[in-house]
Amino acid sequence: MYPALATEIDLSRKCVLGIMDFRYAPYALGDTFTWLTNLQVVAHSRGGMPIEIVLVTLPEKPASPMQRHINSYSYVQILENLLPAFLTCPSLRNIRVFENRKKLSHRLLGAVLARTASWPSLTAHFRGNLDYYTHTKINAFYAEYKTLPRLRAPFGFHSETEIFRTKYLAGRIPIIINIRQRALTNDPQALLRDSAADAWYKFLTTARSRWPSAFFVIAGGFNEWERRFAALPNVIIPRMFGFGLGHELTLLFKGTPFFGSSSGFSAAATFSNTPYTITNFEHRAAKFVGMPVGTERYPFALEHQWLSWKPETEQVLLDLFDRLWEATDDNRKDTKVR
Amino acid sequence: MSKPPFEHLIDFARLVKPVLVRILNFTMRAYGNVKSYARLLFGLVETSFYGYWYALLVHKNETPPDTLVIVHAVNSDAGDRERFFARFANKVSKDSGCADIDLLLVASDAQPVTTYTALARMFGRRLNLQIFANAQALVEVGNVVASELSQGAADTKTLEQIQLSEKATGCLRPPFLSKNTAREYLKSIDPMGRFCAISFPTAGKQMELKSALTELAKRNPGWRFILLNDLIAVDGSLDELPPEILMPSRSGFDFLTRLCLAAEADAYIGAADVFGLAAYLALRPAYLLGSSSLPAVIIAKPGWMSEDAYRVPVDEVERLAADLFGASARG
Repeated sequence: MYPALATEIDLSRKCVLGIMDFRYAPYALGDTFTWLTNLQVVAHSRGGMPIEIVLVTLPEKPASPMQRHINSYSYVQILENLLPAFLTCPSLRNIRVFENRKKLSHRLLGAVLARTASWPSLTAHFRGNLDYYTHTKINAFYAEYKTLPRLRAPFGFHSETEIFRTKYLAGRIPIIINIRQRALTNDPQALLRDSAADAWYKFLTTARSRWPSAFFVIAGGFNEWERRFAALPNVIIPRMFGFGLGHELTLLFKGTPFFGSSSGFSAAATFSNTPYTITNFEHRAAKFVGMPVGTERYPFALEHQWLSWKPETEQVLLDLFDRLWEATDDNRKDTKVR
Repeated sequence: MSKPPFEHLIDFARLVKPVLVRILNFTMRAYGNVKSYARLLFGLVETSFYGYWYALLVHKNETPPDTLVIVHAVNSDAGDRERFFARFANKVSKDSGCADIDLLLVASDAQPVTTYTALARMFGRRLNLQIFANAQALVEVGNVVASELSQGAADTKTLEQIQLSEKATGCLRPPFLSKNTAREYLKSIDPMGRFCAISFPTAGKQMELKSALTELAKRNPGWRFILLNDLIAVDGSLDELPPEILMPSRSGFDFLTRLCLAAEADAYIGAADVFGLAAYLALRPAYLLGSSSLPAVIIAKPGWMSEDAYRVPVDEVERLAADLFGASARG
């Protein structure tokens, strides 16, 4: 046995492997959090072993046929922007990004020879058969153990996020919102899932007088908001100040309540301890998350974590936010103006 | 009354359609399964072949073949990012023929490790990245890597300044998307205009940025100034600046794209930080502030840009620097 391979085998015995191979898996924020939670479930089932994440971005095939717009010249920026999401895994030992096929093979061979537990399983990986969006395994784990390993704030972003808090949120109560607007991007997809921008605009306008201490932090892609939102006095957009995904996730995982449409950030909230209300939950997604349409909570949800299946209107948003606001802090009741 | 013949056909089609759909679905599923098992077989063979081959090559050469290995432990020291960038540039320029870079980073709670991966992306090549959550995770991986890291860390600690090699200039190969976004941003503002990138030092004496920038724009017509700092580092309100002062972070540009802006602008004045280094490495005329208020990283000398490659004379860049920072700010 060559020493380098023996080392890989030895390392494989001490961890659970998470393989995100972008040759068949999508570059998608929400799916990343579901994938990470599935990976954590595997690690917990193995006695809480540390996790090694393997990301495969081979320049010769950087993306799956689902994302044909990503090619060998553009994947770098997309991966770099997604990377903070992988840092939210609490049991993480290390992350490896492979752009060289031989080095990847060497790593995987070590895992095959050591029969390492992994998500997806090594067989599923080689078949290119990843369950990246269903909650089947997660729900089963929760049903058995009545607990779920949650994600945490990505490491390294804490001090800069505190600067953001101090400079821009001082004296106000931040609420993270995410308004899915893929129609505004260069890569419009699944537009039926997009939020009603008008309803959100009206909601934010009304919220200014009804909850004067609430300050709405719009998270998400820079191109996913209309310009009129930036001019609202009770709204701040961290990406206009040089902050990014890592800072937004830090705010969210450190307990800033989340209120927003069913999309990438809602998946982050789903697997956090943070209070949230996810709006505009897609009915078609019910079968993937293992719940009937209209269910108010995920099976593994905590006390102040809700779902809404109704189409977004100003009134629906006001009612949902009212419940979230009151639930997240009873002391704030006196700050609401009726 | 009997139905017309085409209605019989429609009835027949209605009967047959579900059966045909089932047959088609079954065939598709069967094909998908056969294909995925063929992939499994091929994947296992490929992994075994390349995996053993690579292990053999490492065994023969005692290092990964055709690969530059760089190890760095992220820390909160002032100038850590700059030292990393400068060391990276020196190493890449020394071994410019290598196709792969293996970068090992030990993350820290002090600052985002993604800043370092973005810096590494500025050099192109196949980047095989390994991020350790902490030093303990590194120890678990094995002694070889740990010893390389401690050597790298020792180098970083003992050197006050890192001398950028002459060969390092011109070694940047930024990702196309970021580079193109930066260039198009400048073109969209003024395709013929002259742009000077600015990065204010984050340490040392605080300036009244707003009035300084306004005065700079007033005194230098024909120039536009790009403030590269994000608002994490800069204090004070920067609203209502003159239109000649551009703030790319306000336009949602990430760190990588702002590095590319430093490399795309016609000139650079400001801190000897990662933006200053990017401008230097991209052979842009630049004036770096003296090291007294900055992380001392590179030993900069005026006039190191390629004169014929650029359209801005050295003395004009010096004048802009003096205009903004004052003569006393120079090192």
